[in-house]
Amino acid sequence: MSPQTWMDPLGRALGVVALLGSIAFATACGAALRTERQPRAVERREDLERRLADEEARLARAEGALADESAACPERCRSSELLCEAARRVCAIVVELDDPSLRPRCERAEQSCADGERRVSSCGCRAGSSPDARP
Amino acid sequence: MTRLSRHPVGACAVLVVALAACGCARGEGGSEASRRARLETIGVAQGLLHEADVLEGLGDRATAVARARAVLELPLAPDDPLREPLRLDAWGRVAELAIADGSLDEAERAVQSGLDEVSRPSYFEARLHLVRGRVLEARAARARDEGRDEDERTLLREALEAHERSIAINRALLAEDGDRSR
Repeated sequence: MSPQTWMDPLGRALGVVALLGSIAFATACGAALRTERQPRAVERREDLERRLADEEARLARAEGALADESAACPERCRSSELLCEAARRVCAIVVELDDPSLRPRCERAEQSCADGERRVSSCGCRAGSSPDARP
Repeated sequence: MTRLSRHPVGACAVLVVALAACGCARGEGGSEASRRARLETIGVAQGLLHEADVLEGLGDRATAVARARAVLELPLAPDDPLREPLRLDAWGRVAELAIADGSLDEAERAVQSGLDEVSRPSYFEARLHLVRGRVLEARAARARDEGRDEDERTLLREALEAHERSIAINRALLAEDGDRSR
């Protein structure tokens, strides 16, 4: 038997073994990589879903708050309007009493009126709307 | 019946089911009727207060007062959440109309009656304090006209406090609502 004749089947066998080995290795590596990556992908997905749920909840809260605020606007407007009317009366009385020690009370009342108007600025209150405001 | 009398358990079951059905039907009908009655009463109250506004605008204060007082006669359950605001609104209207008529004693009585019914801070309580301030201002004007200067100053200071009380209530209400909607 010439070396070429006996090496041929051996070479072929070795080639087949090498091929099968490399396929098995590649499969094992792939599986290992997949098992390594799968939990990460699941974690990532769970994280995204959690963030999405958080965002949705935040949006729902913001929408609810906006709806509440709009619904409460007529009441807030009349409170602000009444507050400013009381403030005007406080300042008129302070002027009438002509007592400098009372001036800070007028300033506080005016400040309360300004604060109240600021608090209802998003309501677009119209002056003189309070007589229509009934329970 | 003969068949049922032979089966006492079955008869009892039928009776229980029938009684329960009757009870449910009556309960639903009763609550629906009381719900309607309540809504009608609230509607009447709102109509009377609106009528009082219109009549005042027309200069018929006597009838306007009668309409506002009629609200106080309406039968609203003590635990109805709209009872207090409607009644305080009515007392406030009676007091304002009395001021316009120069009936300051009547105005003060109406304000006090309203304040006696207050159970929680509200716009209507704040308005009653403002009306009290207006009554005191009107009394101060009378005192000035009669030359009672010291009385005038005392009354004006009391009016100032009433207005400040009104401001404090509305301030708190606006802050509270603002915090809730945030």
